[in-house]
Amino acid sequence: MASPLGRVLRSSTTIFTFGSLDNADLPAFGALVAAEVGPTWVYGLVYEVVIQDDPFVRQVVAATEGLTAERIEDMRQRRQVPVEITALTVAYRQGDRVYQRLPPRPPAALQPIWACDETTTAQVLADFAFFRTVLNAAHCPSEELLAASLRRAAACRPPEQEKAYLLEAGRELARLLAADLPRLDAILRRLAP
Amino acid sequence: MDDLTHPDAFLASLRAEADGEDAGARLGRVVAGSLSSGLEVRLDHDRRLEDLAVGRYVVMKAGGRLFFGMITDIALDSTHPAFEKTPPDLDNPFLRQVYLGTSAFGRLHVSPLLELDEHDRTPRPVKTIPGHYTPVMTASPEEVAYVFGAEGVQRDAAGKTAHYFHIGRPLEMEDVKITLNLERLVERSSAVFGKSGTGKTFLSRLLLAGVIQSDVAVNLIFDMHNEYGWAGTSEGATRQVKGLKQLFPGRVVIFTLDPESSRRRQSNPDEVVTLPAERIEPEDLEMLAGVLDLHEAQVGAMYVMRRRLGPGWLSDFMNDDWVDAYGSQDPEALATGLKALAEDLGLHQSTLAALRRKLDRYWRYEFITTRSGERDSVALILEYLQAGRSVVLEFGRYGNDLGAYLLVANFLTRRIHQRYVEMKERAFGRSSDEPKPLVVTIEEAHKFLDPQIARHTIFGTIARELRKYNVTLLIVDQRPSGIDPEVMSQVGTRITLALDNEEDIRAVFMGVSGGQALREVLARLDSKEQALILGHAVPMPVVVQTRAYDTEFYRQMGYAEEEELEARFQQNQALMRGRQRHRLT
Amino acid sequence: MLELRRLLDDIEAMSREVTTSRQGLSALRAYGLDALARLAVVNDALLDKIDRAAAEDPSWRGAFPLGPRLDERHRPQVEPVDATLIGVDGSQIYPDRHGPFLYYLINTGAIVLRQGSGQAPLTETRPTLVFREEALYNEDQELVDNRVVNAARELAEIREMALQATAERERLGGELDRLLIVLGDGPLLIWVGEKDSRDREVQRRIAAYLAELDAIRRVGAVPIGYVDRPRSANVLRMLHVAELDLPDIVTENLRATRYRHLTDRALFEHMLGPNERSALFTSTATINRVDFRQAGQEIAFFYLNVARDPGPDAARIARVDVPVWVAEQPDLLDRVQMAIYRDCDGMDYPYVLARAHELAVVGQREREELEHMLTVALMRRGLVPMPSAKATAKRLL
Repeated sequence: MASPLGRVLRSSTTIFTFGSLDNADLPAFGALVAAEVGPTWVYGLVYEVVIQDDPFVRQVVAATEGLTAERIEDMRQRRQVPVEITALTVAYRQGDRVYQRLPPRPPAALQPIWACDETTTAQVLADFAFFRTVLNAAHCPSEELLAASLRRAAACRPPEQEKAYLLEAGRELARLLAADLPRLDAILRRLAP
Repeated sequence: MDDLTHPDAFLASLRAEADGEDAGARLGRVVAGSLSSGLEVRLDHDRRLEDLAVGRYVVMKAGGRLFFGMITDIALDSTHPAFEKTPPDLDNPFLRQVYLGTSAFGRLHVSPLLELDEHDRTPRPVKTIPGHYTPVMTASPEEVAYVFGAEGVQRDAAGKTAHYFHIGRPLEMEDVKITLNLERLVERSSAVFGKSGTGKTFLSRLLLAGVIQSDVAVNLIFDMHNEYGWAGTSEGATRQVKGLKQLFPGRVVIFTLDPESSRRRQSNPDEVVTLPAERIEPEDLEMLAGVLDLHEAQVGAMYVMRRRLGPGWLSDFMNDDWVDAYGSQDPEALATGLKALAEDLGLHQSTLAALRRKLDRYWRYEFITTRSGERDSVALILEYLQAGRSVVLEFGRYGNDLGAYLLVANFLTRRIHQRYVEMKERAFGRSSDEPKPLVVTIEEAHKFLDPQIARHTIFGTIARELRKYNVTLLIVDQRPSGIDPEVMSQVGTRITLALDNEEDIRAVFMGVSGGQALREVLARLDSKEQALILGHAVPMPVVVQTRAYDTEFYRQMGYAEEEELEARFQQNQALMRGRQRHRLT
Repeated sequence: MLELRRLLDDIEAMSREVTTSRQGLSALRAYGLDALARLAVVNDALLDKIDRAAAEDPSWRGAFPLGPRLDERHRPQVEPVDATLIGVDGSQIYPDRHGPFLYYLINTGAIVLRQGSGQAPLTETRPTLVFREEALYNEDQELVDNRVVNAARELAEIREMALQATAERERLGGELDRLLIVLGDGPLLIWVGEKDSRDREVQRRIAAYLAELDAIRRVGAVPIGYVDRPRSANVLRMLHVAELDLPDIVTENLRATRYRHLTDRALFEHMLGPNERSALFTSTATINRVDFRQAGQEIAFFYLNVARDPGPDAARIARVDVPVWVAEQPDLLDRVQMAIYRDCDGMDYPYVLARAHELAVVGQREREELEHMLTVALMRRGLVPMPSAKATAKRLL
């Protein structure tokens, strides 16, 4: 956790949006990010990244011949208009315990957002209670998000546990979505290694 | 394993496992069911149906109890009907792994059989069932062995001395011995069923050897096809196997109806059975009505003749001279011969004529003797039995004559039973004076126990009496459906080899609570050497791979081969000559 | 609100006026180009006339040629070499006597772009909040005016240029071969009214500014003042003077220039092709000829067409200020010209300056957030700032 990914622009009980000035090192779709809220850490899954243009970028884009590598990197990494990244809140930590449910309070404005390392990701997503949180989220591509986050969480585990984790997750989904086979199938296909 | 068969060690392990589930043995979880209809078990996703089989034991640990059950049916199920109609993409290995066992899964039907309390280690019939989601595990060899009791002489659940006879091993458990409580086996009538060619005789011989060796009862074996006494045949093998007399020379005597045949087979019969004609009573013949096609009137005629003509009725009736001469001494008689007899007895002449014709064949049997002063076979047999020796009655060539078989078996059994009743009543409950428990082995039992006649025959009586007079049956038959249901319900222990016929399968479970659940198990038995045992002599139903009837078995029965005897003799000789020390150095 | 129909007559008149003046300007430009060709050779007579004009009217701003010809057009023949370009710009929030707080703010933005590196440039902003009473009021207890803020910003900019140049040279580990160009948005020469030039405060300001220029020179960086679409007419004034006889050069005649309304830019649009620069000149402003020259930092300038496409319509003329010590090194000047031209690729304007501006600018929303934070901080100390009625009214509109 060298430097934060960005800072919170706005948040609600279920989601938080943060801004990042760096276009080049954006968190991936489905990545787990964290914010400190008082004595707790709130965890969310990145599901939307909005790169907004500004007049300057339009100007640069129009001038195709002037697109040197330095300018492209400049536009990506040193933007004035922050990239807006929105995460779906799925869990929080209090002390050593991780709770896969909505936190008591959302992150405050300007709170730094951190990327979670492999250990944290594996730990926070070890349980499957967050499936329903994701599946019930109306405003995000929940199937894609769940599959992406699970694949990431699997990759955060020792290689010999990866497959077992995915299988277990798949079976939990099969249980949850027993009555909605098209949806179940859609997620499992995205989950398949 | 040996350690674990010790009760305390076993219970310790039971308690330990009740805490942490042994994931390796787990098959699934109880999801539904009832005590009467059995339990529904959802198979764990990592379990393959292909690895399972009906008849296998499972255990369920719940509430300080260990429940034993048997897999009695296996089924496919899914969480949603659409899985059947539109199967998911199973070419994708991940999807396959997720769906199989989770969305589409296996289901077991488990019949609860026994429960074992943590404190009271006695296996008891189930009175409740394990709760929802109780893990279901494959029963371990130790657990199965514990329930069945170790081979040899033990104390049984009630604290009585009991002989546990090794009958075979459970399916897929190499080292576990399934034992029968022989005391309980002979306490009530038992049966060995199986379609022909499945090894009924072989299994019966095994059982009888056990009974003889343990001396829990003496046997009277109606050896229809000469397979028990001396050098019987082993099913599917041409080689000869040792008969009971060979295994227990001092405890088995062979009677024969056909000395010639017995000698031809080098069976060395000890005694020849004869049926004195004057002893034969209408009751002995009545049960042959089916075989002889006797009508009601003809049966009635026999009783009339017995009453009017006295003990010699049959000899006289079958004696042409006597019949021809009948009435000739009486000058007033209007007729002579059969006509006169019929008139005297108030019967139709045609009835008597037909009766004579039908009985004629029997009359020609060599073992029926009209000479008086012959040794009384019944008394002789009883003598042997009371001396603790089992009797094998070889039928020789009469084995193929059902009529002869029925006649003899019925004749002897009626009288022996009668004597047992007398002895038992005389003993007034003093067990030392009671007659030695007797097991009567009959083949083709449905001929005796047909619903039409079972009520009237001695065998039906014995079966219904239970052990009142220390006489029970060992029924060997291929058509259990032909046996009177009332008799069937009294059969304590049923040892069933493969059966084809639905009616027969149904009949086996007659009067067994929860028996229907075991139908699939029975229907799936291999046609050889697998048997379902249920009832009185086993704590719970069990499918066994029967043990081999081979030299190892002979040895365990105390039999020594000649070479072996020779070796033992040499050894003893050496010992006596003091060579032992030399051999040791 | 604006009732457009009331302006209909005026709009018509304005369009007529503009058309006429365009035609006039076109003729004027043709004349100017002709004069430049005619009077191309720089001789002592010309230089004398310029000196005379400057002496006659100290506020006269003319161009003093440094080369032999006025109509020089130069395109560097060197291969483009990767340079490091540093762009610096500044912005400010002027003090608002109607606002809830009295303060002003200077914000500088800087960007360091290393050509050919493929790396993202470094960027930095540096805000300075000025709120102390002694800084907000002059000796007469008057609230400082915008000129003071502008001067402060100007100084902050040159300081930032020096700071960034020094830091970048340090990052290069003392390597001096790498061309380091520091661009500021606007003239490199600061503007001082002739009347005030001897003022002590102004002298202090000039000294501070020159010190930063020296610092830039010390680290071997080239400071550039870049004026996009310049409106100056120094060369035209010089042409006007060139056609006067020496005795006629008096204040009255100096002001009666025929080139009124025409700019140098219009001239050079028709003269310079892509990547061509004009001849080099210096400004005749006293501050340049005295203060800057004495400090060895006299400023020269040239016009440069940074457009890619040829033709007067496509031309994009900038005025580039460089110290004379740079102008005197033709090779260095060529490399600087190449580097600037290259950085203008794509938008006909230096990329680094566009970005520096973007970094420096303080938006209305940011300003509101700043004031919101100030309000909260004050309220935490029990003070309730009250915006003046006028400001409140303005905000409502």
